[in-house]
Amino acid sequence: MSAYTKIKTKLNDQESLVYSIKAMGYDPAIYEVACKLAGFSGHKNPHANIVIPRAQLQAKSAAYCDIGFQKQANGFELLVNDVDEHKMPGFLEDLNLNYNVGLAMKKAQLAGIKVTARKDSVIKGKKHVQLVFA
Amino acid sequence: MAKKQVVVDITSEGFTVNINGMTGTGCEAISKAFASAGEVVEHKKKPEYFKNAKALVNVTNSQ
Repeated sequence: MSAYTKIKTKLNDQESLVYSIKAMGYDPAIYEVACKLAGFSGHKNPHANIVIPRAQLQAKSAAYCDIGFQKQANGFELLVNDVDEHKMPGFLEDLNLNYNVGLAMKKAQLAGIKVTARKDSVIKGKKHVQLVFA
Repeated sequence: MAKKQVVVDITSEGFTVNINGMTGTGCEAISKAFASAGEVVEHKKKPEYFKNAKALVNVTNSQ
């Protein structure tokens, strides 16, 4: 029987999290009051505040269930069905990378500086983004 | 004179900020803005930091 796995994250900025999900090519649904995730019928699926609908996931991978993010005091908790975990290699790395890009851009905007260049590369097997502000 | 520029190197684990060619409050404001993004693991916050117009803020928010 499948079940949702809860993964604690330190991703606590909703704006940057949504930026990250969108940068990965998804259009998340956002709920002030957490909404039940769609998964296998008859199972106790958890509730989440930010949801990547399974229809979008199925278009990119063989994932079957919604992915959710539940708001917690110290950051969002990632909710992913255990049958889907192995179907999306690199999902967490991309999520964290794009979250950091979104966060850096947000902080730069607050500091009054603008992006003038972006360079994406892979260094020692790790994705790397360099942003230049002026 | 050094070109005024902020370069941010980002990975899935966090980001490193290099502030070049800026002095005083401008440099400090940018530094503080980025440092507020997460846990600062390294911050060369010394008096000469601003005089030298160069700063490094290394922020991490990895799991």
